[in-house]
Amino acid sequence: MPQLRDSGNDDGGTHGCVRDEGFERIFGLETEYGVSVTGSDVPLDAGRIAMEMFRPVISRSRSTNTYLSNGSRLYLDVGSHPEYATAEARDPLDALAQDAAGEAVMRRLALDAQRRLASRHGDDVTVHVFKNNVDSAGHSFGCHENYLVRRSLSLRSIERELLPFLISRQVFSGSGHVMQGGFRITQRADHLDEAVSSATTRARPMVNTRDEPHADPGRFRRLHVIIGDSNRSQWATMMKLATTHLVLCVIEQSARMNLPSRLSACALADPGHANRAVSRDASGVNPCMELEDSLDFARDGGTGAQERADKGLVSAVAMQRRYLAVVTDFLDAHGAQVAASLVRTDVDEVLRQWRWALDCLEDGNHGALASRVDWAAKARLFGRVRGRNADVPLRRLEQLDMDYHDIANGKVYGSLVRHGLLEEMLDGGEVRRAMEHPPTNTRAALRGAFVRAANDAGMRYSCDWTQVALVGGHRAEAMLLDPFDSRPTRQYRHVMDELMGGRGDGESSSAR
Amino acid sequence: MPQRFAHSQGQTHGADGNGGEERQTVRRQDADRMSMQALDDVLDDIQSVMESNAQEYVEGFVQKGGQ
Repeated sequence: MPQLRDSGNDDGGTHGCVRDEGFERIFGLETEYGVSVTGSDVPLDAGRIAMEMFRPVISRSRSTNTYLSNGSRLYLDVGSHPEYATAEARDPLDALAQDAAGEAVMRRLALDAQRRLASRHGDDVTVHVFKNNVDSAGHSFGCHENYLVRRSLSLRSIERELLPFLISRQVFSGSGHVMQGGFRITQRADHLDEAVSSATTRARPMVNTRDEPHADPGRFRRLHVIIGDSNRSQWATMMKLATTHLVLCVIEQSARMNLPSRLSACALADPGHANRAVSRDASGVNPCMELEDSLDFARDGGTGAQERADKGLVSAVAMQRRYLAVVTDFLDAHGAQVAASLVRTDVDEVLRQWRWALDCLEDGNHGALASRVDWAAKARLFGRVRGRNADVPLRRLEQLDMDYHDIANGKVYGSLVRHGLLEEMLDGGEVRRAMEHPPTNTRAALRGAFVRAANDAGMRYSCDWTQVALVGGHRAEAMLLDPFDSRPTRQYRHVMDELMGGRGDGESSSAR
Repeated sequence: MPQRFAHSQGQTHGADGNGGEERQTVRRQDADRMSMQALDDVLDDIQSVMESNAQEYVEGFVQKGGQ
């Protein structure tokens, strides 16, 4: 890793210090998709389907690993998973739009592949691309959230103060999963063990701490949250990012002041067990999370009956109420600063929506919840299917569950939206814009402009999160070390000048 | 729909209504009745899914590996 402090910016670098004092954050989502085919005259495995999808990517960039002109990364991951990582966003609303653009990119690749496969394997070939987290054999894959956090945030506070939040937030962010043995509100709880770890593929931790900030490592870490489900609900994607940001603000501030935060009382005795228990409790209100120190939790409890830590156990909703209360108090003191950290998102609205979801659960109003929360939307649909046919086989419900996540040819999700049963937040125009344009206020703006210009010029280039480079005849490269900075550096301007000068004499490109 | 979470959109939150408990119960029953009808419309929409081979569809999705 090169020395990151000298980024060649024109100003004196004081804005970096301000950022350490403030609550600005970089958000990102990495989504692995699953693939399958029905209606083919020969069996086609995931590897062949994924390669067919990536055929145009390979012919353009001679690689299955590429960056797009919207600043995102599109690649084929281990295990034949098409994967899309959003460009750096400073606001959850921008990350949401970029994630939806990823769905649209995958849909286009899938439908193109379907046309080619149909010409060889019959007109009934249908490509399915699942934005979910588990296949029929129980293999699990992920939707990883990335949050740039201040270096002062300790691994210990991530485990003790953040993990209980990440586990209990699934009452509104879980995608739901019907399986032998019953309904789960999350797709991944049964596949995750260790709480915090530095590995992902073998052991499946809930939070990954590998230190690869793609930014100044002296100031930042990249918190890699693995525990979450892939969401179809845009409300759920938005809310998981926004509420996690607010909780991180609380924890960062206590680390900055070197004071204990009120959230350490939320530490769990056994996070893996609590995670599975929360996933099995669709009510959200059964006390199923075992606290490390229930007296500590009760001491800060206020007056509500839900706050009583009964025999050391609290429900997911009670845990969420605690986080909401602590965040609300925190915002009384730091609201203006936190609001300034988000360009577009209205923090008060996030709090209202958060409270609304917990109210719905406490009131047993799952019908209202079903208009915004993935697991509740599925549970309501399955309830209606069973209401019309009590003997509906499990396989049929599993199929509907999977179809809900099929972003290429699925019917269920779109129908729920059309009939007003599920809300969408983005319109088609916003998604199309995000497919072409990165967020304007991060370094993704520079990467996106570079990729677009290099493609237009037909020049060979390489690219990653912190660097853009021309290769071949017009060698030039620029480091982009500050993810918050969208201003062209001297190096970057040089690369772009070379690009304009060398226009049209090459023909291919690659990413690394 | 309006951008729910964005600044300057005013109060767009719909489900968090006020009013007495009784009115809320009535409202919820109305909502449940309407959603029942809408769910039946959804089931009509996805008739082709409901009639396809669920076993083949589900068991055909084996990804292996990941992350």
